[in-house]
Amino acid sequence: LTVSPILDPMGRVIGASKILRDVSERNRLEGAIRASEQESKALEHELLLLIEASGTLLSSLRSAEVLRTIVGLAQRFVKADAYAVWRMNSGDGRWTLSSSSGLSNASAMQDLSSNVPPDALAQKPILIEDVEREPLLNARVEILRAEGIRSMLIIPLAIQGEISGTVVFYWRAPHQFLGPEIRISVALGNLAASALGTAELYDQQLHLTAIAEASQKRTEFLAEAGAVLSSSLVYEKTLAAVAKLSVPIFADWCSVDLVNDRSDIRRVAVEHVDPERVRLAYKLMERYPPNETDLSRTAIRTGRSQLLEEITEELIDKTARDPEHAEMIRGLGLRSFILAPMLMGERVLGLITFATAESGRTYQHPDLALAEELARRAAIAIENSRLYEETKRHGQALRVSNVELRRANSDLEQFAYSASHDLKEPLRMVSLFTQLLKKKYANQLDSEASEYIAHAVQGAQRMEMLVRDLLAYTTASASPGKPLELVNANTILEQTLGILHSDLKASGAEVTRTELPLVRIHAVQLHQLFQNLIGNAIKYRSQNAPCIHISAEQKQDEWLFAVQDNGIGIASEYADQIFGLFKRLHGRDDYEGTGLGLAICKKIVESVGGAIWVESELGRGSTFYFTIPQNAE
Amino acid sequence: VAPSGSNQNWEEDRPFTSPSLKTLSKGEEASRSVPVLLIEDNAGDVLLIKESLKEHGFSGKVSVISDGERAVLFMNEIDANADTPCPGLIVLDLNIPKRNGREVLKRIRESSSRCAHVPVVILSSSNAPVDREDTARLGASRYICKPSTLTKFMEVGALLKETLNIGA
Repeated sequence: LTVSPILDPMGRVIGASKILRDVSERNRLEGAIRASEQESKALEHELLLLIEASGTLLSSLRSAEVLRTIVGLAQRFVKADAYAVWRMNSGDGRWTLSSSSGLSNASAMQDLSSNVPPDALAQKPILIEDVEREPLLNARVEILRAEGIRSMLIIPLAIQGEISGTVVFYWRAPHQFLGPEIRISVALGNLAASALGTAELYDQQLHLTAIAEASQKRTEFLAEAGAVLSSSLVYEKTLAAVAKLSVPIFADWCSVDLVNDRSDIRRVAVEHVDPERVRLAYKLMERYPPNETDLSRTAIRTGRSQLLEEITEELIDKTARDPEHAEMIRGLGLRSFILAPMLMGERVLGLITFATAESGRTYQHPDLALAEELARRAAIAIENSRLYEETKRHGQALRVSNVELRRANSDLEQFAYSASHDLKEPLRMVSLFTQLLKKKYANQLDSEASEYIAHAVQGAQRMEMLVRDLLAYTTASASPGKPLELVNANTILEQTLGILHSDLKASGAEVTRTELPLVRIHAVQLHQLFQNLIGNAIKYRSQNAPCIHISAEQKQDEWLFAVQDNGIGIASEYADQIFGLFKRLHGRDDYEGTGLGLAICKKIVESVGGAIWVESELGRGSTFYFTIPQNAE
Repeated sequence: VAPSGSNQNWEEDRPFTSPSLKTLSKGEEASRSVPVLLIEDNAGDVLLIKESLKEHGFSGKVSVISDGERAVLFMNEIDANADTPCPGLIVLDLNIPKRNGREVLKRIRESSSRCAHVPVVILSSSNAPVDREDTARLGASRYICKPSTLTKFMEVGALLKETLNIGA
């Protein structure tokens, strides 16, 4: 009898192997032959079993399946009363009974939670002939005794060099271990470990794929929700559509609340596949309006999102205001939920609530991230919609005020026209009779009275000029109802020069010009333009006799006219001002004028869709340009 | 303003009551005695026209009718009564009460008497081409825009005399 102890790496005895030998020589020889024959038969059997086992094990891909197969194979390899595969969680070192056969109360065996310390296994089998006498099992002997276990063979499963489980053979009668038994068990253990390792990798692969798929689904959901959010600028409708979309892809329940400027909270959507449930939710809210301590109100107040992975009975009881309330909440069947406030900067625009119920799903952190992202996009959609509405409103207001402005402007113009028209007649009388007074009685009056009359005459003349120009200004753009016809600018210029003849002659002006085109403008308008511009060239002449050049050239789709002089010029800072109403750069004593001439020109030119401007330098003359579109209506 | 048909102002304004009219209508006297009718509501202009005529040596009678209605009634009377003399020149303002100058001009040219051919000078404050064109079409002899300087206004008398001489 040879007894060899089985030692753990610390040198502690954890088992023993016993080998019995026949000492009789003859018997020994015969026995040796028989044994050798048996041995080779046994080896052949073992080999076949192992080949079969490896085939079976490798055909299973999932670890749960592999575990069951191991137990099945163990039964065929070694004759024992019960079999079990134990797995150890690498994280906390706890053992679980993964698969078993022949145990009368497997769940009781689960209590053997801390099986054998992994270091005790040391990748070697442990042979326990008598559990009662095995110090390793002291703490658990009661459980084993209950199962009637007397002997055990523990084969470690080492996956990638780490002990991660065991295959255990149980005997209810004291068992004497045999060499082949141990050998094949170890071989099975190695095979099982390798299959399990592969299966676990496969499981992990599947798990990763599932995660990837879930993430893909989330991305798709988000993209779809994003599309819905940007589809319309009527955000309440959009938010309701997003709620609809979330159910049941992402949630069993989804509700959306909006907060307005006055911090009033309004529910705009509640979604559930079953409308009956939606009614229940509304009823609940009606019966128990949310108060400030509610989680949803807290989320709206703080702007912080919240994930509640598991809605427990305790939580419901704690939250409910009375038993009936609790009953109603339970009626919703909620499992877990996410509160995702819609934030724009610091401002909370609303809250999206997602909840799971009958699907049995529970939310995890990736779901929270998704919900937050969705809420962020919803907030942007709301903000966009608000901006759009605001812009629309402003546009509306602008249009209204434009219409009012146009009307006011036209009223004003009408008033100016009537006023100046009606002023004209009495003014002519004042003017004529002061002149008549002066003419007839000048020699009968003293010099003071004559001066008074002179002032009256001057004032009346000035006023007449103003009235005349005001009338010209108010009628500058008013077309007399006739469509614009082509007029010959050469003819108009000739007429204008004829009217200005005496002024031109008095100033010694020299007028030159190029050939002028046919243009679409009322003849009176063009006449007024020439008269005012040439009149200015004469009026604002320098010491030298005025040289006035009138020209026109064709630009892309308009005629560019120029009236150039060698007069006193205009400082560049006034170049724009001079076209304003009543804008004058000189005192009345220096230059006579109403300050309306260029304003009239501007109004005329703009009424036909053209533009007017001046290029000048003080002391170097001025060139006034104006354009007349060729296709003017 | 008296209602149309009232005689109250009519007598005052009623022209050509002078016995010299007959003489005039016979063409025996020079133009300076041919009566001029002003259809004008602006007393200032009436005064200025008279002044201007005087300046140019016109010493004839100048009568005034101050609204369109009475001008038409006057034409009616001329047509009805062959004894009612016709003026040698009519100066017509366009902007007058009750009936405008155009209607009056039209009525004058439609007259059944020789008054239909009397020279009519339009003296208006309007310088609108449309007024010139319309009145020319209706048979106005001349169109003068009321001047706003005294010098120019005083020339109106010369123009009127010129027309009177041509028309006479």
